[in-house]
Amino acid sequence: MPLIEMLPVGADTAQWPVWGTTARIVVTDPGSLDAATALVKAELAAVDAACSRFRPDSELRRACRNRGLPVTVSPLLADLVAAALDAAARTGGDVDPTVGAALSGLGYDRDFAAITGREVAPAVRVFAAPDWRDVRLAGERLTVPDGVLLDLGATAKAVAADRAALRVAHRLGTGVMVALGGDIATAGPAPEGDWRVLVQDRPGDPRCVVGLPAGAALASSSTVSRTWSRAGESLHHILDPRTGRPVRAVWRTVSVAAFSCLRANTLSTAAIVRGNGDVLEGCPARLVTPGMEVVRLGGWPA
Amino acid sequence: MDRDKALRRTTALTGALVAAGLAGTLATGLAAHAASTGTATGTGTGTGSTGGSGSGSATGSTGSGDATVDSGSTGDSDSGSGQVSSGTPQLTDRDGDSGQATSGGS
Repeated sequence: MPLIEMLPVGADTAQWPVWGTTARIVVTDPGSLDAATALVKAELAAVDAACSRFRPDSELRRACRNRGLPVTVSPLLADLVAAALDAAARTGGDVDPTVGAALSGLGYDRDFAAITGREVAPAVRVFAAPDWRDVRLAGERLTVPDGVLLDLGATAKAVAADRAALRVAHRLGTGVMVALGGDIATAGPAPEGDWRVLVQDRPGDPRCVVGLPAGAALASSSTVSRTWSRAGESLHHILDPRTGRPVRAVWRTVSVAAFSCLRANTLSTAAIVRGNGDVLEGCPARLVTPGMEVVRLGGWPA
Repeated sequence: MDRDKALRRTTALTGALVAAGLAGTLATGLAAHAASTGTATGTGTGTGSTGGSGSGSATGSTGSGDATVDSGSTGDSDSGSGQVSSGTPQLTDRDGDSGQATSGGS
């Protein structure tokens, strides 16, 4: 059972399954919980319809089927693609949205809940990602090179958390924390003592609890989550764009705090791909080795 | 910075802050951030904190343009991707407490 599902669910909290993980929201005003839940669910549904790699009817899939010709997309999808391309640019391509076909080739071609813990058929082929710089976005005109399948998973979940938290805080005036698996965004006022987040991959792993101030975000990327098997080989979902293969696990888990979940997720994913902490831009970070040693950087509390 | 550019920047920053509903409620976090990073006091109904310079697109409901907003709040009307964000939050050690959420790999 995921750790998040072992936490108590009080009058200020709601959680439900989504995208192969668990969505959880906590509000400072329990009276606003139902409305906040509805807003977050609507935001997640909109993001899913815009950029799901697994839905044939998603806007993203349609854009990827357009034979390399430009297509006008919704402001939401434009925002999501822009975030992904910005993450690629900031990380020198470590966080690359063009790995969709490589992920599918490895067997991650449907909602993760459908493949977790299962053996999938051998891939027909595995290949490195195309160059993300070939994806063009001009306003709401998106051009995806022919044959490229975008995967916005590395950034879209973080963007969704940011958007949902801001929407709840603005519409309802309550403080809110939105957690989508490892991606956590907050908006509005924090509760007394800050937002408390348990940082831990799996039961028995090194753990800590940190306080997040208002507006802060936290993201964790891991090579031991979203894993599956293929032909007896254990695979995970974070690919090295240069090889199209799961990255070698220099770090088991990297957690990063920033003032947006997108930035936190971008940096934590890049650290996993690059295998060092040089990309963390001074943000508080906690890196766990495969041997369970913990490295704290950027003022992460001991 | 010339006057027009300064005006556009102020409008953008104010718009982004208003759009995100940050004024007031965000002041606590940003003030803490400003205290920890030495960033300037910014605009808004409450006391906000904005980066002195930066890049990125911040489109708010009442303002638009290039700006850096430490909160990472941007986008249409009341939500956004948080594409622009800088600064680093100051975490506190809450060891011994249970979490309100978990962050592990996902």
